[in-house]
Amino acid sequence: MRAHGWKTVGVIGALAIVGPITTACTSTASTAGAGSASITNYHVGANLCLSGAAGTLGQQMLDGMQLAATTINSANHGYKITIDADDSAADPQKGVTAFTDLTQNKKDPLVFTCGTTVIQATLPLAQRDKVMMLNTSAGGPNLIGSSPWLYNDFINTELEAKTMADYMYNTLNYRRVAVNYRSDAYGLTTFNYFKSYWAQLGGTITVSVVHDINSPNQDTQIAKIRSVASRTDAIYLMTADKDAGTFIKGARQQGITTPIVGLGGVFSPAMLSIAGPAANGIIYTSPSYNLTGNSPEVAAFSNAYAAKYGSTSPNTYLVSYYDGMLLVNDLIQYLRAHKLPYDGSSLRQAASAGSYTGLGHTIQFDARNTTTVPVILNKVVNGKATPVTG
Amino acid sequence: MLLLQLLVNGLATASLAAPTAMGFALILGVHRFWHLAHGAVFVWTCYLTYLVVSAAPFWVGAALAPIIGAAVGLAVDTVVYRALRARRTSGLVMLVGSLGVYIAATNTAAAIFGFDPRVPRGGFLNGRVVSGSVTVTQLQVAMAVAGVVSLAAVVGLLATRGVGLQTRAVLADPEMAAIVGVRLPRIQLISMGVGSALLGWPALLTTVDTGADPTSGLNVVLIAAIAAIIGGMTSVTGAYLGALLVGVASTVPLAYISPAWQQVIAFAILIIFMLVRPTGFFGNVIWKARV
Repeated sequence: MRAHGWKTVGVIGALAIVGPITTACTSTASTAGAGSASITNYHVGANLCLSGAAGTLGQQMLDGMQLAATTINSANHGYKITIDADDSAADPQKGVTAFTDLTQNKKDPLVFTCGTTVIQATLPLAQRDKVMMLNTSAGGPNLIGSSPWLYNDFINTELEAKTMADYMYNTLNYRRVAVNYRSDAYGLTTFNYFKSYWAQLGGTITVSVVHDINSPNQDTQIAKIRSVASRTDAIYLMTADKDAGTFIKGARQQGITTPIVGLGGVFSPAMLSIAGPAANGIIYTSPSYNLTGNSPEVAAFSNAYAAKYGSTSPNTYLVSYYDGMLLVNDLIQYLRAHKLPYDGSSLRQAASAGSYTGLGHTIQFDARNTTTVPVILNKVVNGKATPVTG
Repeated sequence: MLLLQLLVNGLATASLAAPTAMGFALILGVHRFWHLAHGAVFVWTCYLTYLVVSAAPFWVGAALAPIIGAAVGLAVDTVVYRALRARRTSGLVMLVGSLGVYIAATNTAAAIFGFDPRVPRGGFLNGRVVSGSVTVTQLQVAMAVAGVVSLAAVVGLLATRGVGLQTRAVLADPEMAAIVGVRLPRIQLISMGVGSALLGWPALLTTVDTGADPTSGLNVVLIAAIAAIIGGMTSVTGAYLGALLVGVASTVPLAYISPAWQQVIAFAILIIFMLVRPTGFFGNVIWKARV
């Protein structure tokens, strides 16, 4: 080989050796080849529905994450957590694009996610890229155990439906329920489960109606329910946000006085804004984040929330994503203590290593990477959530 | 009774959609392009009427709503369409331009106001007018009144010898109308203003009911387009009837079938008309696409 050729080989060889070393030494963001204890800025991805029909909820999720990041970063752990947020618009295609940006460009080894269809679309990518996905909002039972890279830290709608069914049947002595459910996985899977369980208890469904997400009005659904209202003990709303507000307001305007119950998604600023006083008396299920306790986590949350938002009740999703960030902080501390790299595999190892303290509850993942969040019942009183007792 | 209630609901919903359809048909007939930004005008009219009724009595909002709608529509025409017309762009380019306006305007609204619906406090039109086995709410009565008054206003305008006659001439054949001396730019401006003003009351009633919402424009323009096609493209009264047909036909059958079929029925009506009577109720011409 000529001298010129050997020179080229030598340069290439030197680059091959120097390159990775340089990359490893300068990494302060998402990955660290020599353990994560040297990282001072941990990047966490957030693939959230920040626009579109679910934009309001997505923004609340991000608000929860940012509130938590501010609280965690001010605690002087020796590092800070930075959120890389991208918008899925609750659309699977956009969700895939956003996820790819977070994992390929921003190199986030952990991505918060939301929206059942987005989660399902991005699971193969998480598997391929060895990225841990943390779900703290989608309650579809079909997500449980669907991938070793998906961790669920939220109630699932089956548990919500069971809790509400037991409460209606055993405490309120209701036997006849009308159901209005949303025409997506959230509403459909919940309705199918409730229909079966309610029949097992001995109850009947007087009528079931379905609506599309973001329906401009639900007069037809209201009319059908109104036609059976005299022989219905309660109306069960398996929907969320604006659609819940549209139905509740319309039902009361049309003279339906039947009690209304709902899933956790029913209680939101959008519902309260549309329904107004008609929302009072609605009973709904929600994750049991005990925000009245005295734990340091709850105290920190309460102070931070009050400072930013005043006295309004925190939205469920803001709380659940704050809760998720507490978990992430604990996982990071586990990695640092065990000198593990900040990557998806190590985060999974940390998640399975034990239990962690969330907002008023313990987080411990089972064999299906799902933690059971207890469900409680709340009632809307003067626009605020009040726990149901008895 | 369920059937009768669904009929009442269908008529009310249709009455709210009818003015938007008439406005869309008027603009389509005069300008000869699909004004998709009609949805954006609707969204912005919602937000602006929200601001008015949040600060002033409802009747002030009702009086100003058509003026607000007209102003927003004319703003779109002045800023975007006039420049495109000056370049003698084709209908397809105008369509793309209007789509761009729709996307930009609705996303701007979302950026400014957020995605939470903005509902004015005060609980307007929350009561019931008829209460019994069939219920009619104040809001439904207001929708019906808005629809009828809008129809009367537009029919009355088109019946006038000046602007009305010239507008009818342009609706029939813009090129011939220009040849015989109709000032096309003036009629285009008036039709854009009137067509957008027709959005005012539907926007106001939607706002007080379910709030101003940046995502509401698409559904509005879709229904308006379907009604306009069924009506005959250039027929304003045809668009009104088309809206009534779609509203009632997609609601009443739901007494027997699932509400999931509602949108299917609406589009099925459109397809049937396009196959059986492509000129719609009162149209005479089938346009050819020009690129």
